[in-house]
This record gives sequence, structure tokens and C-alpha cells, in this order.
Amino acid sequence: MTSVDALIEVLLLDAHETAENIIQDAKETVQDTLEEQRKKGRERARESVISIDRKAQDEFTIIKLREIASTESKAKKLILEKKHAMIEDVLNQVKNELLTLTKTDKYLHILENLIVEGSIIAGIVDLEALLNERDSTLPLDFDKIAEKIYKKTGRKTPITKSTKKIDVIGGVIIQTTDEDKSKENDENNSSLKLVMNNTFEGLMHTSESEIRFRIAQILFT
Amino acid sequence: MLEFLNIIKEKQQEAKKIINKASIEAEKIKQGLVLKSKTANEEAFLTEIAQAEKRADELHKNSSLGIEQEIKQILDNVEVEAKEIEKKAKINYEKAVNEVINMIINKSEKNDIG
Repeated sequence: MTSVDALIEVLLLDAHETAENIIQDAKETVQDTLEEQRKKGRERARESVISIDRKAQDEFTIIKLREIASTESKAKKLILEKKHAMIEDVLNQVKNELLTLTKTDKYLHILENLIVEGSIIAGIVDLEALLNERDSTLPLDFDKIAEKIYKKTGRKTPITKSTKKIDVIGGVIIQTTDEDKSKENDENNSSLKLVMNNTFEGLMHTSESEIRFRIAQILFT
Repeated sequence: MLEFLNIIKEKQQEAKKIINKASIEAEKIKQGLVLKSKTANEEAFLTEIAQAEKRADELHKNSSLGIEQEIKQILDNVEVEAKEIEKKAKINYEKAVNEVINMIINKSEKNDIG
């Protein structure tokens, strides 16, 4: 190889190398620019991404709280219904046992006391006692009952057995007779009767809240 | 000598052409860059959003599972609680019945004057 050939070869090699560098630089510029744009794109998305993540987290929290609260509410309701059913069971059993009680000797004494108590609370004269079919056949001494009322109140209170019958487990309804109304009623409405409900059902109804509360105390505490 | 110089000159022209050609090619490479940049930017943006939405979906699916487990736990607990209440109530059932009967009977006995 002559020195001229060598010179030409170097010249062309340099040219090729320069050309390659130019193209390579262009490619690198493109890659760098694209990478930079991708980075900018990701940065541009950052706020939206944070918003999406936060929204998803918030939705999860809301759904969770709502579902849990709903389930806890159902659970409480279930327990309350269970307790309510058990209280009802007790009340039904009470009625059964009161019915049994009405068939014992002890009942006559209880009934007399309910009549006395009802008459005292009524606090007026000329009363009648309404009983159920079965209790109407019991040997109730109304003179003795009136005497008991007198001893307790110092007031003579004639009381008779009504011919009307009531449909109750036991106990009595005390009311004024048709002929004699209470003074208060005379002033307001002469056709109105004063009534004292001392039936077992009436007593249970009057004290229902207290009874249910006591049952709950005994059963559940 | 002149011939030698001509050859050198000719090869210099050739080298210059090679470089010019490369420059043109480089320019062509760069020419589509504006559009490609916009596309790259948008694709990166959309990819990030899509990934976030996918994460949100996964969170939703996983959380549903977690909530179901928690709900099951609450219901299991209430079942146990209900059984305990029932068990205790059964023990005290007769006592409650007798207490109510006494409340009613005592109503009659408080005016008992014998």
C-alpha cells in the first residue's frame, strides 16, 4: 500500500466514523427526548393517579363502614328479636300458670283481694264486679268484701256481682252500677261508667313496661 | 503529483458526501420526533392511569373479600351471643315466670286485711 492509499483509507474511515456518530447521536437524541416525554407523561398523570387511588380508598372505606354498620344493626335487631321472643314466652307461660292458679283454693282469696283493691281505688259507692263465667260460680261473699272495704276506707261501699260476664283468665273488673254513677261522671257525662280493671290481663297490661323490664333483668343479666 | 492531488480531492468529496448523507439521515430520524414525543407522553400518561384504575379494581375486589370476612365474623359472633343469651334465659326462665306471677298476686295482697 502506498502512502496515498493509506491516506485515502484514513480519510474514508474518518468520514464513515463521523457519519455513524451523527446517526448515533440522532438516535440517542430521539431516545432521550422520548424518555423525557414519557417521564413528563407519568408526571402529568400523577395527580390523576393520586386522585384515583384516593377515590378507591375512600370508596372502600365508605362501603366497608356502611356494610359493617348494616350488619351490626341486623345483628342487634336479631338479638333484640330473640330477647323479645323469650320475654313473650315468659308472658305466655305466666298466663298459663295464672290459669292454673285460678283452679286452686288459693285463688278465691286472691280474687277477693282484687275486688277489694279495685273497689278502694274506684273510691265510690254502688259498685258491681264483673267476672268470667267460671269465677261467677265461686262462693264469693260480697257482704264480707264490702266489710273489708269499710274496714280499710271507713266508707260503706255496696258491691254486687254483675250479671255480665267477661272473657278473661281471672280477676275482676269493678265498675259503677247503672243506677249510681260517680260524682265526677255526673258532672261530665252521666252515661259513662267508672271502671277499675283488676283482671290478670288488665294488671299485666297496666304494669307491662315494669313487667317486661323485670323479666329482661332476670333473663338476661 | 497533480494526479495524486486530484485523487485526494476526489476522496475528500466522497468523504464529504458520506457525512452529508449521514446528516440527512439523522435529520430524517429527528423529523418524526415531535409527533413521537407527543405520543410517548400520552402513552405514558394513559399507562399510569390504566395502572391506577387496575389497582383501584383490585382494591375493590380484595376489600369486598375483606368486608365479607368481617361480616361473617360479626354474624358468627352474634350467633354465639344469641346462644349464650338463650342458654342463660333458659336457666332463669322459671324465676322470671314466678317473679311476674308474684308481681300480679302481690297487687292483690297489698290490700289483704285478712
